[in-house]
Amino acid sequence: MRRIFGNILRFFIRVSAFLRKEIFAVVRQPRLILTLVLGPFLILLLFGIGYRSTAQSLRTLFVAGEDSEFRPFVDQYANQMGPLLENVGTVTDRREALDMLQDENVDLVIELPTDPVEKVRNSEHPVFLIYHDRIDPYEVEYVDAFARIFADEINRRVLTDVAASTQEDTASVQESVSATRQAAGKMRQALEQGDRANAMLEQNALVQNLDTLTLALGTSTRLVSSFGGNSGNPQEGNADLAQQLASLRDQAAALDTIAESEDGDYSEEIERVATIEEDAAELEEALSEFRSIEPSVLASPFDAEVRATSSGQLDFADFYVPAAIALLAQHMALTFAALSIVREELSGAIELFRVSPLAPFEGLLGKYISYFILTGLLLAILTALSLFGLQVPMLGEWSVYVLTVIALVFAALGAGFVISLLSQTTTQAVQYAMIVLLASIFFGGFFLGLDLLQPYVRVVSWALPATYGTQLLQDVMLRGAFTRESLVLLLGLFGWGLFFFLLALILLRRKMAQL
Amino acid sequence: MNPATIDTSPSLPRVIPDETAPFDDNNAAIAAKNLTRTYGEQTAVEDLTMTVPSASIFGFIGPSGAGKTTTIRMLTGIHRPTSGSVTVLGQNPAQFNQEMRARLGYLPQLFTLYPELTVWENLNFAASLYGMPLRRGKRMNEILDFVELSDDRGKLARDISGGMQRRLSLAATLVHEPDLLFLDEPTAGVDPVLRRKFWDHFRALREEGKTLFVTTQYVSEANYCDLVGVLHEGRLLMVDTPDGLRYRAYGGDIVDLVATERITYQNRQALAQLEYVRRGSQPVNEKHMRLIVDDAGPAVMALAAWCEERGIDVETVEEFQPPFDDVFVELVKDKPSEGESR
Repeated sequence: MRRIFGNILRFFIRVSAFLRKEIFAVVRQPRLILTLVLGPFLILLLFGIGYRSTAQSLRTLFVAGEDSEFRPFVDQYANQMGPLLENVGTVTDRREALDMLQDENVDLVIELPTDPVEKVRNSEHPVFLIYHDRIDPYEVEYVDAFARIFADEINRRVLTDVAASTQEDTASVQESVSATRQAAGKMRQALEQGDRANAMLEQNALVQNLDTLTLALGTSTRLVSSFGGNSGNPQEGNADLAQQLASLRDQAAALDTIAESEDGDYSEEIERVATIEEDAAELEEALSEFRSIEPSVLASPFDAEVRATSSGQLDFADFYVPAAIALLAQHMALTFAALSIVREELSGAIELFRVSPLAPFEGLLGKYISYFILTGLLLAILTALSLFGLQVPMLGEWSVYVLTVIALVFAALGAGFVISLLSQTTTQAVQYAMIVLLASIFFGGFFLGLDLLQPYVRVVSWALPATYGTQLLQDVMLRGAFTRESLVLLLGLFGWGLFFFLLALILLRRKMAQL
Repeated sequence: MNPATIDTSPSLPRVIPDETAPFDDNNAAIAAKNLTRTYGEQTAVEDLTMTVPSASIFGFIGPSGAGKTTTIRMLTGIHRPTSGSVTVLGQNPAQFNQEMRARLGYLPQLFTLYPELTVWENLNFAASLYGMPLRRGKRMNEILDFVELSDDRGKLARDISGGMQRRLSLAATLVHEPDLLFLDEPTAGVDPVLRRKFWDHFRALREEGKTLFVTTQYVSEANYCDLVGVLHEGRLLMVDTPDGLRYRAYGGDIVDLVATERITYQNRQALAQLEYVRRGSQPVNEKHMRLIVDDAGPAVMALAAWCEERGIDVETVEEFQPPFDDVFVELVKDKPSEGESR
């Protein structure tokens, strides 16, 4: 019993040897801590405060012929784009504009289409030619998106003008409808009084008004009809209005002959005229409503509004900080571990360990614990700086955050020890660590979402602890969620940690075994 | 170091042991038989057979590259012999458990401790590595006193001199009081005064029953050892006591005869013809003859009597102990080099 107790005590003494040694050794290298922690944090801080989250304003030069129909509207179109476009001016010579583009004096050149009206009449699209000299695929995509928005804005502007014009046109229509309704009213009153002659006069006036109305409405039928439909289907609305008009005309035609009544009973005619009167009133009301609507709403009636269910408004720094913490945690732990064993091998300490009673498991455990403490302290500082310095939100449970960090550091330390055991020199170990860092930046979800990667490349992503860490920290910090998927990720991270630990142990056993 | 100042009386009886089996294996701390270690085409140690008795200091001398460190690595279990067998403290080093390893102390040739740690922290680390109990401050202070680093305990190891680093390494090797010490050139870079102190301590350890296996390039340090193995190009040439090696080197004991006047040619010839005087005797100058004899003790007496009989006025007649560097040169000078032997 005493022997067992003694062995257990010696086990802990040997493990603790590394605990103190590793911590003191790192703490006495302030430059190492500076480069590993403060350096990356400052980079992160600079990125956070220096990143422009607003869209890039493109210096744009327009090319339009002296006689271009668009030329008077260039400024108007440019203003439509808001801060996305900085109007540099308008020139007539395309070559001159392209030279300026090549000299990087402008970002875009927009050449206005010639004879746009003629082309529309010929069922062709007048095309705005947009020139750029970007090579960055993201910037090229940005210009493409800009071009689509620009064309949409122009189209919307045209439609808005058409709508406004139509609204003006419908003023006379509305007057005709009002005159029709009034004529119908007078005709109804004449019939009610049994005054057939006067009723016939008013009937003529009514028919004339209906003809005028049909003519006036002809050009604007579609637009007004678009408004008339309740379901948003223009065809349906068109049909309603057409029916209304047809009904009015039929009813008026039916009044062509008002037979003389011996008993002065014109109740049937009165009923028809009353219907015309009511229909005209309805149409008048509809037109009045149509005219009251903003032309821009008529041109572009639908809008979209985005609402996130995840959390409040996050800025770019908020989004990137959890990924950066995951990346730094992995990098710190991995670098500490990667340099650890290879340095001892080069100094000859491993030879000393081989002769000593130290078991590989004891040495490895001691190193794990010491680097856990070190990395944990540094990450605590980094987390505090992120939360209080960069004001990054922490919406989830701290316990999940701590568990994630533990799993991440466990896996990263294991990977680092494996690197250290496979390296021949410290330079080689650092190179391997940098390769892992580089892979983590590209494939770990730091800049690019994993969905943007091909499935076979994602295999690399899921071999990197930082990938799991990034997803989990984003979930806990920014979504405040711990889902079933989060649990799978956490278990995956611990799985990698266990795998690396066992691999490192096997490699260390081999290294400390007899040569 | 002046050999005349060295105490050359080993605790073991003066013997001229057999090269291959100098001592009884039952008393052996280390017993190696036909140990060979090759690295690819190169043979570092070849067919090494020796026995190191318990409670002794075994010196392993040889020039750089002779195979001393490789031998130590095989004995400590770091390297596996290519062929041959070895037992250390009665067990194959490859099968040592933690308890057995705790009985060993190993001082590597290079400084393997941690530059970022202080002297005290390094020593503490070594003590922990061997599972020393937490109440070990007294022992650590003692060992720091011994290596004269007490005043430097707070200094970082990177800030102390090479000699101090060597002393720190030695302290780390001794701190857990091992039964068997493997010291690979422990006095390299240590000043002569402290080197002497080291050897005094080694002998004190031997008196406590510890066994020390010490390699050194300072051939003169062989005088401090009970037994010395001479290694040359991976081969163990011989194992003997320091006196025994001298005897082997020169073919007998050496006696210096210094007369007050010139020793005549006839007298020199007569001296060489004496029954107890061996071949190889040489004049140092006209008054001084260096004679190789069977046994210095009786020969000194006989020579004094012979000179008196021949009317030679003698200034001194006494045993001469040549420096071990000269002994080593004598021992290896006729040995074929690696290229010649294979």
